[in-house]
Amino acid sequence: MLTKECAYRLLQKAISTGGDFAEIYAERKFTSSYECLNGKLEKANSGETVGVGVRIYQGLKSVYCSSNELDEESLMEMVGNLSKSISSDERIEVKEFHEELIETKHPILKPLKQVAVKDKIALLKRADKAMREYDDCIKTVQNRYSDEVQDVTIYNTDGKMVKDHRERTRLYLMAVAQEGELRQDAGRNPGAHQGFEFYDDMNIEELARETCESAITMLHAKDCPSGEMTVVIDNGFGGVIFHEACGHSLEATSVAKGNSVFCGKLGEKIASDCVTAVDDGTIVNGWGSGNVDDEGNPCKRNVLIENGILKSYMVDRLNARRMNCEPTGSARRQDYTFEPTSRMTNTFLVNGKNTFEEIIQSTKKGLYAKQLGGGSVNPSTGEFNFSCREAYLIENGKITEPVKGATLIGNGADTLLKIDMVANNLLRAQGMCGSSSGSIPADVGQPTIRVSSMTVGGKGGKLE
Amino acid sequence: MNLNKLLEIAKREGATEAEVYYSSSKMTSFEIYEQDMDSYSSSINHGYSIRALFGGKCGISYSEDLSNEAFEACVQRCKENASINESEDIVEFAKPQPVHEVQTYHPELNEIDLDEMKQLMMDIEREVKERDSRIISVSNCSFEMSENECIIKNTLGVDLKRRINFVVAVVGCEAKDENGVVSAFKIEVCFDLAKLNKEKFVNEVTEEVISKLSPKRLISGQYPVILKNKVSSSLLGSLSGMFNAENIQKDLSVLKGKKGQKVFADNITVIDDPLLKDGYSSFGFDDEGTPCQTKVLVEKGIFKQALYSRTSALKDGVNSTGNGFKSSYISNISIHPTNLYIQPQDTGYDEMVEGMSKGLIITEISGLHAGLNPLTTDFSLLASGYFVKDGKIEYPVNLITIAANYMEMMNQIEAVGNDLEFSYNGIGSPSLKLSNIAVSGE
Repeated sequence: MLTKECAYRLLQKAISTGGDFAEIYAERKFTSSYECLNGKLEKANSGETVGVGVRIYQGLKSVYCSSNELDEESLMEMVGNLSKSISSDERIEVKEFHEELIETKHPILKPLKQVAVKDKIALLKRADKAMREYDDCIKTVQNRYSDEVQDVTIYNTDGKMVKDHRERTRLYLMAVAQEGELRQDAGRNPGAHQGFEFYDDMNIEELARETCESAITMLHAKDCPSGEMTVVIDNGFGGVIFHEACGHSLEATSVAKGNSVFCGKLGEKIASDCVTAVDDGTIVNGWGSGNVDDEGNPCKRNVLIENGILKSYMVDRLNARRMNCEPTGSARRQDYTFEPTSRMTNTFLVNGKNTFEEIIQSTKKGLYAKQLGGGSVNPSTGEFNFSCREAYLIENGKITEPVKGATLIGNGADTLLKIDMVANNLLRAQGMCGSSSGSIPADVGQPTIRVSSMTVGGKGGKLE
Repeated sequence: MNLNKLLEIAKREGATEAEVYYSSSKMTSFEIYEQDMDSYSSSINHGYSIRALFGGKCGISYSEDLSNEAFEACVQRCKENASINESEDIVEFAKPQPVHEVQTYHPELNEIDLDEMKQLMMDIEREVKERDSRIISVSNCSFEMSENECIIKNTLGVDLKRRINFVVAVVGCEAKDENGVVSAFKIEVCFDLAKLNKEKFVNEVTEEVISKLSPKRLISGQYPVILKNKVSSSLLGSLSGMFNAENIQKDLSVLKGKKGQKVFADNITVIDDPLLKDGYSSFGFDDEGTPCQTKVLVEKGIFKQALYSRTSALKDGVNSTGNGFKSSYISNISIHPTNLYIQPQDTGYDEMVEGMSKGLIITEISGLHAGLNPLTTDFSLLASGYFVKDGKIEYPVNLITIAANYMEMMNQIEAVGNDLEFSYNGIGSPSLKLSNIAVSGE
């Protein structure tokens, strides 16, 4: 798409007005998606996007442009215009490119573009059948398959030239249970940075039944009580609490300019002793994994919090300059139209000492949040919120009846200090994370944890 | 760029009819940080999608590559996608029809001097910071200008083009006192630079952030509430899918089977008006080439009309309402409202507050993508605002949730304000007064 020689000339142009660093991100992405509604394939769409993003640094200033008009003349003109917003007497040389050959850490055994469309659709049909046969009250089943194959090449003025090939596939199951006027939906969305072999060992029928069961259970749930209470958050997607309550506030995007509650807290205790949290972009075939990040630096395993002590932020190249530290392989972007910034990859709490049973048994009264939905955070205040898709009351050490419409809110800094039990059943789950550099795949995860006190919002009145 | 070529290839490959949607965008933005332009960005982006009928089945595919080979590959993918399509829905492309002229392009915005804008934003940043010693940072101070051109062509002779341009200014700031940090955020979308008033911008964002300092929490319980216009429009926007005919047909909307019935209180009328002058979501025609028109969706509480695309309209034996839109060439056609709003009435906002002996004004809600279930319309959301006693604001409130069922809530509206305000997605509402809502706090 872009020759090495052309990339070199573009970088020369980019720094011609005094930039001290420039980078090119060239991307080609093929996407396909199929949707099945109540047994029929209703939507099929596929296509290709291709483009280039160029950025130039001058000190702490960064300028960016992107285009999919890819002839050299247009690109030169665009980069020339961009370089006009930089002005300095400094001049650097573009170093000769040395292509880094990376050995993939994320093997792709059945490349997604080589898999017949009918095999992808067959997955949807299997799930659909299992779901519609599960129970008469399952009235609507809407399942979707999507995958993307992305090739990126990154060049920079330090002589870096690195290519990465990424394949991601994901299944979205959704069931609606209905009885009279009552309705409830539930979903499961497994995905990986992997080829079609991801589905080889997956028990699709089991996943389908689990989805339906979740919807049916919640159909008869009563409204969640409200107020301050002890909350047990289950493993897997429950990790979204750490993602929102803390993860975003540890991204250099918030930290570098002093907008995070965790600024200047490295080496300090910010969570209770039982909390160790990691952001790990190296997990084999992990949904948020890569070989290199979107600046071409190797993805890394970064310990963010160790036994309650803040150890590291997630830092991209530009913010590393501002923060006077090394980048952590955390630069990510949705596609070539976005300038990369520090983002999470696969972020999770590590296993603790308790068992799931111990946590439930030692909780006299509270809420058991089994499946969480998404959430959001305001990094400058640390205030976060997220919703429970499936939740139950805990009474006298036992899980009792289901409750619906629960929202958990709090302040990240407070909540981290209130985690008082961590189980040993770590599980990761897949999500899409939206922030300033677009929507990107990210894993959340945790073992089951207990928060001693949290505000629960629902319309069911006070917890008796 | 020869879009006719794409239609010809589709025909040659056996398509009975075909439609192409092309869009190209230009965007320039910058951000000010500590009195300097800290980042600058510009982009040029284009792409297209083709929908075509092969043997009665519709296929779709997209690309950003305008070469002949890419055209061929795109048609092949489209044909393959048609071959696996099992939908019984009938797809018929639009025939040429007269469309309303809606002004969405403002040539004078092209004359903008970026240096002047940079100075304006630097002044705003400085003045926000200098306004009050408790304001500790301006975390976001940015400006953007965008332009989009969109072409819809089909083999039945539709050949339509629209251009849209606008500018956006954003300021976010933080204030701190002995009780912690609070933040405020203001965004202004303009079609006319004269409306980007610096004084107003600085005053509003600084007054807001200072007024939020030292928030208190509330005891959980039921409280009378005023939902500020912006909050009501966010809720309406997140639940606007209930008016989507496709959702109604799939039984994924609470309005299924409710046509002609009372769904909201008598004082609620909801309108979708694509022809609104200077609306944030104004269109003369939709992305299928169907002319847009103004519709009353709910009249005095009675559900009158759903929003239709062409295919969903054929299913119900009615005409498309011109609400078939794509969010980009990558997406499928789906049904979206245009300028959708709750009609204002005569109660002033101040009057609502004065009439409240004890209650809450909700000025912000968060987590709409998760804390709200479009299927049931139940919601439970992080909220903040002010506590009111004897008609006066007593103190700011944060870290509470408000929870209700939207359909039940919209049947208990005590008063509808006269302060209609549109959000930047085109959804609008006046402030609403409710007899009570479940609040969770301490």
